[in-house]
Amino acid sequence: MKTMENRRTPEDRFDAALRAWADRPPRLDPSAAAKAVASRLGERRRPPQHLAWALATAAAVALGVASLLMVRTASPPQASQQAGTVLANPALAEGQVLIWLDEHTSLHMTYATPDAAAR
Amino acid sequence: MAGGGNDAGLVRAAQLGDDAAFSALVERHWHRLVGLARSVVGDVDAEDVVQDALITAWDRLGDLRDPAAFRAWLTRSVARASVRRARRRAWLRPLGPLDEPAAPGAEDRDGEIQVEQLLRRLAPRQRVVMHLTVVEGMSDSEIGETMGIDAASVRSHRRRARKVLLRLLPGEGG
Repeated sequence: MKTMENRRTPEDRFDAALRAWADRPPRLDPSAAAKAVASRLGERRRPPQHLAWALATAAAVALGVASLLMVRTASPPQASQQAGTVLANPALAEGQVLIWLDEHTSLHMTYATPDAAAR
Repeated sequence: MAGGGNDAGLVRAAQLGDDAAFSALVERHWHRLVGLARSVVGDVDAEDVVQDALITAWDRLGDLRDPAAFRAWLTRSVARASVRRARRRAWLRPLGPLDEPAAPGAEDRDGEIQVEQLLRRLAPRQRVVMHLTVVEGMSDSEIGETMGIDAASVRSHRRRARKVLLRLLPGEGG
């Protein structure tokens, strides 16, 4: 058998050896390989950890800024505004007046006729 | 080794984002592609190179206009990735006295040909040509198309590779 093997040309022997060598089963079988590739593709689709942290931080900052803007909108007039300013506030009922004496003090008054007050 | 029989349908589905279709394509071509990469980069890196090439293939699948050409397209992708890896490794760790014995044995004690040792003596492109010729049985024009070179260059690569191998292999009867 060995003699027949050696009788072939070196080219033939190399070609046969290359075919056998290249055709050995891979370490990962095809199904495991497909799973490994799918898993790598899945990992890539998920945002990386640092990106998730960056997004969470950005969301928290945006929420903070929005809250601050809402508080400022609802705040009393600033010191630069003249004390005693009478504000027209659509939220006030008829006959009610809100006066800001200064930036910390407001005066809320209700006007009513004697008849209505007696009621 | 698996053929590219019904790739087109799976390729179209994968192009629309069907992960399962792409997995089926991976299963179908895995063994063949690892064989090719093994011939170019050796046993250790082969499967890693093929996985990388498959990830790249998924990204570029939309560029493939003819789904029937998937087999050749994927083979080209793996061949290129393997050649790049082989060149990088050669640059990082050039063959030297530590890697190669002074007189590298083409055969082991039992007379078995040391394929990997011999392939390492060839240029990466010569390894691709030898593999596609001997293992896949492709014609020169098919190999040329796969590698992006003409058929005459394929013949030239093979001739040089054979010359190196003949110098290293023991002659007839010996």
